[in-house]
Amino acid sequence: MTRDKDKFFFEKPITRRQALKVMGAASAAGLMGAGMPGVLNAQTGGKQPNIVFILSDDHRWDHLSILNHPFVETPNMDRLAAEGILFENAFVTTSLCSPSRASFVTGTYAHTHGVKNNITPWNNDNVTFMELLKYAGYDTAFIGKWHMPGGLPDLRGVDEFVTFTVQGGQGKYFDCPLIVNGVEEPSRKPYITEELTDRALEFMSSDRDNPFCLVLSHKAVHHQYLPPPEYADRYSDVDVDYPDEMNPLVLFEAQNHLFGAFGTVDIHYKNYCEALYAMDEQIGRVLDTLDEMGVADDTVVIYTSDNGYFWGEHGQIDKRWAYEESMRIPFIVRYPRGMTDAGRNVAGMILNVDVAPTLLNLAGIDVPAHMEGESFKPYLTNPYSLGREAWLYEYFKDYPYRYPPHYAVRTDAHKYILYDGRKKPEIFDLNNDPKEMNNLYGTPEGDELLPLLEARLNGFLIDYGLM
Amino acid sequence: MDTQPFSKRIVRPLAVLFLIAALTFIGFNSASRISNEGLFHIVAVVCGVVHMICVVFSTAIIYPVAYRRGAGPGERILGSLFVPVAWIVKEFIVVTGVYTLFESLYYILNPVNIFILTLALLQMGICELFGRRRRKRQGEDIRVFAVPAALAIVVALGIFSFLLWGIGVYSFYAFQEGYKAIFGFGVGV
Repeated sequence: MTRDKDKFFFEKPITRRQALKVMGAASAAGLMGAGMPGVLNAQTGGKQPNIVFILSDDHRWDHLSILNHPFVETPNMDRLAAEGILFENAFVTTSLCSPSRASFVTGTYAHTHGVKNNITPWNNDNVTFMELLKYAGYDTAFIGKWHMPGGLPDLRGVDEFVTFTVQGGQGKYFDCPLIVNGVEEPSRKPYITEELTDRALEFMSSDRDNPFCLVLSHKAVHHQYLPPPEYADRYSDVDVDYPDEMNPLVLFEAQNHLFGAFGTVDIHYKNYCEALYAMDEQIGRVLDTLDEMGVADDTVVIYTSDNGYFWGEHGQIDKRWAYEESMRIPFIVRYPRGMTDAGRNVAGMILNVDVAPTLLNLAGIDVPAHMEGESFKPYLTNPYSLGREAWLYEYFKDYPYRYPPHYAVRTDAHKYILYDGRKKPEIFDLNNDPKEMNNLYGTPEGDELLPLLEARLNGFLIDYGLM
Repeated sequence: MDTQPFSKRIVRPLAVLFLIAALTFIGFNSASRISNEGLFHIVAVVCGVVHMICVVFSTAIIYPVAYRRGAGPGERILGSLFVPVAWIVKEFIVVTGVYTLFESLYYILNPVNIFILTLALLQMGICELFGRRRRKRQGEDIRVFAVPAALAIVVALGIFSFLLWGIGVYSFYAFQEGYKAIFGFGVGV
């Protein structure tokens, strides 16, 4: 691949601190001195896979037709799951756009990478998986929504960086001005999801000798949830069964009125589903292009979202809370050359912080010690792999939203949420109460569960230096 | 125009409106405790809509009543703003549960509050013109057009055009930029 931007990250001016951090990470990853990829396993024929990481926005885990959603159609995501693995229990460690996005690319929690909410800035000292992949010989691109505070980042190791800064980095669904490698350009297609996909396909299709890593980060299906005109009425006639606990005027409740108050829940929700359908169609174009290029078998495709979303559950619209609808995400992996038993589901719990270590692992690069996630590569080849037993969720203040900061510990059976401030702690039995409607805190059952859950939570807080 | 006692021209109408606002607030927030889903929805919608009318259209209710009962401009304005301001103060108190005092004070400037106050301004301008027309029809020697009322309408429409730009997105980001300018990246995050 020949282009002006095709140069290693260390050729760009960086601070001494950044250099030390990168060298430390690279050294830990076993790259220094080698200059080439590390050990590759036999199954992949010693070949580094291409990587296509597709990240959407606010797509909640159960809005997939393969999971029997009543009317949402996601044929291409379904196809990806049929040809790959669907992780049924994938979560984000902070259910908020910017912190979660930073966790995906760095493999670390918000308290480590520093993007604790949608205001605290991205720290250019952070090391991303793109940077380490670049160092291992990959061509890299980040195309789409960056949306981390602090302006455009110094994304070391990224050859092609296409993003947008309008509306606080959220971008616009229509005619969104782009920043292409630092230069503002108008959108060539009116609808943002198609425009970003076009750019992604151009990057994928470029002539090259190296493997490539593409991060395709969609604005869809975030508020204002706008579908393209051709799908604007696709679900207009659907009769939606909203959660029993949803107040019909939920958009005017205190937690929700700062956004989305224009229009009804029904209008917004159907737009959301239509925008999702449109995004699925564009994901189909990515999959078709991989087929046409003849590289599908050697390409890791991951589809996921930065967090979930409430549509009336717990009386909420939005995310942030440590309830399932908010913290749980769709997560599909396809890597024909490096996985077995396509079309299966995995029940083990994986996290957004696992993505970076997994991608490095799949590329044959040792995972740097500072990354807090774990590679889920074993799940790809061994359906009986044992996963984590529990993990920490964290939410920090995000002005002006009035959600109290909180920590939570989630096990495969229970959840314990500890709030800062006046709100009472919560304990849920996820097997018997999957919708988390009955807070067991202060009940005999809760009293029985509390010591163990409290010990787990405190253990995490101590381990992560938060206590 | 007869001037009625203060209690009649301001206190009574305000007390009635405030009481309705308070009761519907309680009803709206307690409705989810009703186990019957249909009844829950009815109570929530009725209370929610009535409460919203009390807060958002307080001026359209209080201003003409006060006007007819002989209240002066100051009383009319203060009376009109009482319920919306009470609602904003309630929001402020809730926000102090999460944020510092100064962050909570800044919260008062959020676009929703500005929208409510701007709507009150618009209603004042319109109600003033209607009130003057009514008096003129009753035979008083008064000009219907009043510069302050017209100005209130024009200013309100100008603020609305900004608040509603991009379905409210731009005003929200302007509010957030203001926060960052004052508080940096957040207090105690």
